[in-house]
Amino acid sequence: MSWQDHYSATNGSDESGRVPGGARHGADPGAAGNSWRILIVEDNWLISIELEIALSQAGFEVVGIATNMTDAVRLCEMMQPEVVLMDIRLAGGDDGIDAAIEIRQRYSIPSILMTAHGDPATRERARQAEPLGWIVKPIASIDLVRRLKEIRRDSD
Amino acid sequence: MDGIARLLSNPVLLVDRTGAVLDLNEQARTLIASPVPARASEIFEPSDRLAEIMSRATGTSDPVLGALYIRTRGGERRHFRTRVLAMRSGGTLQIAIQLLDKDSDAFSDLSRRITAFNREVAVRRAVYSRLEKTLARNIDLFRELQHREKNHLQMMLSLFSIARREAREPGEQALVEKFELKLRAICEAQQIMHTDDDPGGVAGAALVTALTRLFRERAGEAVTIDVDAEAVRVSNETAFSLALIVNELLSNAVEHGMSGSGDHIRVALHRAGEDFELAVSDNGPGFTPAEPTRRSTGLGLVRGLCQHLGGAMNISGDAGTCVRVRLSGRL
Repeated sequence: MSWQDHYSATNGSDESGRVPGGARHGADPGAAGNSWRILIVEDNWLISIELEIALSQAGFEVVGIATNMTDAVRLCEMMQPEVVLMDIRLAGGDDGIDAAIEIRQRYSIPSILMTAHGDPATRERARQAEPLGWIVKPIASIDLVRRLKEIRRDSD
Repeated sequence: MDGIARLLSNPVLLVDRTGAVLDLNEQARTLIASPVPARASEIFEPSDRLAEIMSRATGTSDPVLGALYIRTRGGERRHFRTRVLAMRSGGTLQIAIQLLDKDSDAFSDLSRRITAFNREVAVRRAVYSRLEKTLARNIDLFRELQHREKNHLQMMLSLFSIARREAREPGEQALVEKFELKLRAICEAQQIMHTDDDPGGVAGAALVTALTRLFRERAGEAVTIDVDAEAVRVSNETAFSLALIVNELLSNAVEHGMSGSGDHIRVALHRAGEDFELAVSDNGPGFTPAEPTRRSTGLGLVRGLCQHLGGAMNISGDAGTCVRVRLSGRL
């Protein structure tokens, strides 16, 4: 199944928040043990698709993709992910840090924050969200997966 | 005339509470039209301000400051600052009016300076406020541009990644992977450039180390890759070319410089006078370089980038392969 087929299968509506419903991407051999349930919150469609495929192939379970804060909170309540991979800039001017704080406080679900700015001011602002880790863009999928595994190992 | 008034160098008049002139010192006599008018209101203008100053003076034991015009002996109308003091002696009240030349008055001069200073402070504050707003706007704009730039690079990485997965033929997949690696090299350079505090250059050692990390996994655990990098600053323009050069040389070493056991790659970055030299060597079978035909990849790209930057490339392929690239260290 190509990413195009996959996107058609899982995004049958115009809703920005969605839950993958089609077949899982073939996980790479050796990906067992990465079964973290992850919600992706990313407003860029192309990046979110690539994240979903890369994480699924690495053995993570992507429980949904949201593009804004409202959908992110809704999907957290619905899917109860173990962790949220959260972009800091979201659709409609929403702030990923605010979303991460809200999700942490409401459901005790931690986030891993993705940002183009890993500066101290941004990190200070995110302290209340108690992020499990940071991922600085741009990052290749292979490095992202490696980083997620590191964060998972460190948080266990 | 009161003795003290005589000692004063400024003109002084003594008047009673009704404004009748009682006496005046020599300086006042020289100044005021002769014969001296009987009433202060005939000497000073405007008379209502004179009355107001005198009224204030009779209510206090401190001198009262003011400003009045006087018609001089020469018929000139001059402006004076005044210091008016009510003096009680027994049951009588006398009012001394001292005239201070407004133009030569030290207080007035100071006052003018303070006014000018305050005006300048106000102008500077306005400029400072405008600069602060502009700076804040520029910082926002810069962050927005950085964000866009990084997001676009992220999108391109995603496109390459997707294309690699979708490639049907191994050759097609390898080609996409090569260009994906180039883009990752550019991303590493960009990342280091943005995190570096110095806007004029990039830490060469950090760049080379980050690029080498990309190849460790690709080369496999059996291959050791060592980095020996000096603290060399590389200009922003050169940094991106250097990233592509390191990427190509490491790609070549991993692809062609491996013999299967005890494989070793060494990346060195050192100063060489005003230039710096990058050397990537391996202990593989070695090779004799042919004239590169392609410019988009491999040694063709390295040679082209070197030429563009006014640098030089040297290849030795007897015992393993060593490619040396010398580039300008000017920032």
